[in-house]
Amino acid sequence: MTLHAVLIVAALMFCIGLFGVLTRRSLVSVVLSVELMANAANINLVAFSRFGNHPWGQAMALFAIALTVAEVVVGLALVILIARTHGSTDADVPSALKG
Amino acid sequence: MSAALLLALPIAMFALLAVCWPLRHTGRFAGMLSAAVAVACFGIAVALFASGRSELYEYPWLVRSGHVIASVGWRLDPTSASMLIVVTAVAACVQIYSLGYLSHEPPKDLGRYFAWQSLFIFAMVGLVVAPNLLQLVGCWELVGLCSYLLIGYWWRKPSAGKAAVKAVWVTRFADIGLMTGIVVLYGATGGFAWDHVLAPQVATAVAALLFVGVMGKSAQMPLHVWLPDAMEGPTPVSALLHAATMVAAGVYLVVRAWPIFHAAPDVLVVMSWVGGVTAFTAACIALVQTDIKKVLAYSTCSQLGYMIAGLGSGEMLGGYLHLTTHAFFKALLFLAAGSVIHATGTNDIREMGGLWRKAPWTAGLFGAGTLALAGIPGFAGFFSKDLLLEELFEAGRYGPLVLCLAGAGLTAFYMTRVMCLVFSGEQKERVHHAHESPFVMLAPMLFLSVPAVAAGWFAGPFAERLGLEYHFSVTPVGGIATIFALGGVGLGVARYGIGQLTWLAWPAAATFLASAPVDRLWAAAWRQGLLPFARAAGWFDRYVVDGLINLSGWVALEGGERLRLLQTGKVRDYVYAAVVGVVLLAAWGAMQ
Amino acid sequence: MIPWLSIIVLSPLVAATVLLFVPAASRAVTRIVSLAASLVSLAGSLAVAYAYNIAEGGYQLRETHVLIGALGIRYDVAVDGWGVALLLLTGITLFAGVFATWTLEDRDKDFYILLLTLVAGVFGVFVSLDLFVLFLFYEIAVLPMYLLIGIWGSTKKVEASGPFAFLYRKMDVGGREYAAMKLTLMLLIGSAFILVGILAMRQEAGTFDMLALGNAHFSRSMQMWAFPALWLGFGTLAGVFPFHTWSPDGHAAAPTAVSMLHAGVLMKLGAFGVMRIGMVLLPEGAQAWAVVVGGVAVINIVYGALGAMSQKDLKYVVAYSSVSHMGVVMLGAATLTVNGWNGAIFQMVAHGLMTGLFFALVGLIYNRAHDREIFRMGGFASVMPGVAVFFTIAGLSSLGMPGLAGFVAEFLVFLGAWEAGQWVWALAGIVGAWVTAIYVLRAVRAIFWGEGPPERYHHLSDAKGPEWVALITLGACLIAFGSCPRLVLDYIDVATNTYLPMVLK
Repeated sequence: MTLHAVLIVAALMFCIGLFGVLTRRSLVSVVLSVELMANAANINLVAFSRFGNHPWGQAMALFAIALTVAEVVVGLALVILIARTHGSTDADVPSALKG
Repeated sequence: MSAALLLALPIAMFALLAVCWPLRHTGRFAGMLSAAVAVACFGIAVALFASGRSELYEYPWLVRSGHVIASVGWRLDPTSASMLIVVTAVAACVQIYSLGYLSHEPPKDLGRYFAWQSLFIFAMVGLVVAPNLLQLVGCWELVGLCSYLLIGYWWRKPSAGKAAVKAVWVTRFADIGLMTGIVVLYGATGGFAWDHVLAPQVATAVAALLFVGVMGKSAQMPLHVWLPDAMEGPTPVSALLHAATMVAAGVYLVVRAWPIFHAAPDVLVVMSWVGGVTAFTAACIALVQTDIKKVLAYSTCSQLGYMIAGLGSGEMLGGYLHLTTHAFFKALLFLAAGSVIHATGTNDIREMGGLWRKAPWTAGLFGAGTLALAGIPGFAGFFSKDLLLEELFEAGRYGPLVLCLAGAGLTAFYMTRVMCLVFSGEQKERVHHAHESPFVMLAPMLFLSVPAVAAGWFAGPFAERLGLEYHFSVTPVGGIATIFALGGVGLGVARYGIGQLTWLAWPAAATFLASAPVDRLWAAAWRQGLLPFARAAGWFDRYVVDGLINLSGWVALEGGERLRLLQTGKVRDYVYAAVVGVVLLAAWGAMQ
Repeated sequence: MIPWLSIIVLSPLVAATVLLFVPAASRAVTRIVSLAASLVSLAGSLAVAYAYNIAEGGYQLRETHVLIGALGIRYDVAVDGWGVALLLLTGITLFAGVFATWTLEDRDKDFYILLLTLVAGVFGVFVSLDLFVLFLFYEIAVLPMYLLIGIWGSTKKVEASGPFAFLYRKMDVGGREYAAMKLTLMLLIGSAFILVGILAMRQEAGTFDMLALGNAHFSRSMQMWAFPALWLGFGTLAGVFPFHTWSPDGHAAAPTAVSMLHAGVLMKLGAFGVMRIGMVLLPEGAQAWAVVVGGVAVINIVYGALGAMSQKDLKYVVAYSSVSHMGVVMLGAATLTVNGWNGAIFQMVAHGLMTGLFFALVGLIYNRAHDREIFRMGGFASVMPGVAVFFTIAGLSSLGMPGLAGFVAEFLVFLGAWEAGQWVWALAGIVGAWVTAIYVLRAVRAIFWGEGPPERYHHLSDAKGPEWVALITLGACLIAFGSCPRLVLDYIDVATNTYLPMVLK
């Protein structure tokens, strides 16, 4: 197993996540896709740590996982709030920022 | 006693009347106080002249790098001392006269009138005793201000307002030259003294520029147009400001700055021509006026023309002597005209006639003034006019001389016309109820009639005081002038007294002269020149300069309108944008 | 020693802060606090004038406190001869301004808070020696205008016409929000230029201290672009053509005391900045650009006067006359001569007092007649004689009547222009004074003289109690400074003699 292979997996995961963010209309799916992207980054961190013989990458990954949990909590809370106010979890419905 | 008193008393009087309104609102009492001050000033002026002393006091007024560049104060010398007598004598007479002439005015207005009269005395004395040209010009503007305020004394009358404003516009227009002149003088000498020796070109430039100012103030063609309109003011004002003193300030300026003018012979030639043309044309216009004050106003223009022409000969005495004698007899004439107006209630000489039986004193005094003005031998005007014509002859200025001689005949003619139409002949409607003026008006006229008649006899001592020489001698020029004057009187009596020689009317020329052609030219320049130009400037500023500024604002607004559409409000659009941005940045980074 | 300068600068700020805690309903307290602040400032200005030693010259009464040590920014105030004259002007105008708006009823507390803040900025600019703090004060002086005009201003209908007619239909040209917006935006763009100029100087000399900058040697190339930046930046506030168009709309829309202070004092900040910072600190740039500055000033004088002549709205007449008279200031500055500079600073004082008086009177007339169209008035002298008198005094000063302050200033500038070898400048200035005589006297006649007033104006009253104080203060100062110019000229002259050699070295 080379660093290269792991990085390709991570990049694929990131692209899948990005694809989800860009294409899914359901906010829950969007949040899940964001998680995929975050975890792709975590894989990168762990991989560099493993192949670079440096423990900081794993520490960062743990730190990032903890942060992601918090982010998901806030993100889902926002989704629920939007679902309540707009009656749907469609990402295109809220458009208060429209110029 | 010093000349300072002459400045301090009137300005204190003015300040008192200006600040202390209960006093001002008493009207008559304020007037008496003011007249008393004017009489006191006259007394002081006489005492100063008699003492023959010279004084010079200068207070540093403007500084530059810690050095004085201009001072104010007073300079008492024979020239200013003699002029002071003229100014204060006429001013005192006019103020006393005003007490009677304006006795029916509301007290408030009367108080205002006398406040301005006091201010005028201060300004005029300041002008006369000015130690340098800057103070002279400063006081010149102040007397202009008094003129504005006094012409507009009846400010409710639209015509008075127009006349007042016109006077300032025209004289200030001429003052462009005056101001430039003293700026040039300062540039050349670093000061405002008139006795510096200047290089010929500088002297010519300064004298020419100063003369432009003189033309405005002393009502020379073609800047004379304000003076006839200035007759909208009360008649005593016309006597003091617009006949005797203020309009003569221009002539006095030339006399004061004589070293500069004397060093500019080219300007002197122009002066004599301008003066000659003014003397002749103004006399022509005076022929056809029907308003008694307008006749006298044009006559004043004409006489000022004589003074300027006389000074243009290169000799100072004739012009200056004519200034002093003219001040007395023209003030007398105006006061007498005021007395006529007071008696009949009209200015129009066609509505008068046979007034001498109703107002014999006025008739006599007006007659004395007329004889002096016409230049009948023995009267004041004769000596001064004779002298300045002689000077013109000696200097070889034959063109202006001919104009002046012709003007002398016309002067005699139009004054005789007024005399005949007003005082002789049948009594018209208005004259039936006429009455002689009260003593308070007659006394100042009587007083003025003395110098108006006899001042010429003292020309010798007067000249001696100025350090010049004067001997009366019978000369051909003087003879011709006298014949013209007598001829003018004779023709006038024949035409208007007896009613012969009706062919003298010449209606076409009369209509042309009466239509004030020069006035109309100026009015056209104002209405079709300056005013539309200013409007165009205003429009340009509002719609082009400001339009461009607004355009920049509009571009920002419109640009915002367009850019606004990029904000769709959809989260995914923003994410797309972010992704595209990241990709572009990455691509750019890879290419580096 | 009493720190007079800090007292002058801070007393309006302190009063503004105190006013925050005064209930809006207590009108009397509002006025007493504002009046007290203006009195303290005025007394301070007089004390400074008294304490300033003319024989010694230079900066005096200096106070220094470090604000941000790392950047070398200090609260460093001191006063020179020019500063004394301009402090006096500001003190007098503020004092008169408080009285002139005594009868204001709409949100008066907020009004006075903003007004006092603005004045604190003005005082600060005149005494600051640290360019950064000076700029800070400058912004404090400029910004409150937006609210002052936007809230208390008045509106004028402007018809759409000209090549840009389409914009005029779209934008609310002449409205008070429009005027406030235009004024603020234009002045802020000017501020940006100023900031660039100041930072360029700091970049080369490494300090914000004006005294040190005066001895610094800036490169010629930097001076050549930094001077025009400062000229345009400060010049926008001084009404330099073609960036003067905020002035007519802004001053016409602004409420009385604001017009008084803005035209009377704030515009002088611009001219003061051009001279004290632009010219004195960047001498080579100043010399190279002097011809341009003077040429534009000539345009200002004549064009502004013609603009004033074409207006029918009284406030616009006065506002355009300010554009014209500020041209005289800039002309004097451009001459780079002692007389010209003395005249320029004197003209700042003279014009400040004169235009302050004008705007006080215009506001007073407008409050009574609710009309500003000159040719719809007439015969007002019979109902408001006092106003007529003071209007005439202000008008005479503006047309250069000797005995009033305007004459001395303009005359000195003309002398300077001639000495600079620019006879066209001198002549244009003199012609401008004549055009001024035309429009001023026309306005006086149309408003005050003649039969009338029309039926609907019969109830109008003359100036009352507090308004008299404003009129008499300003009128008396015009007469005093005009007949005894050395009351202020001696201060101005000593500073000019310090600075001019720095420019001409």
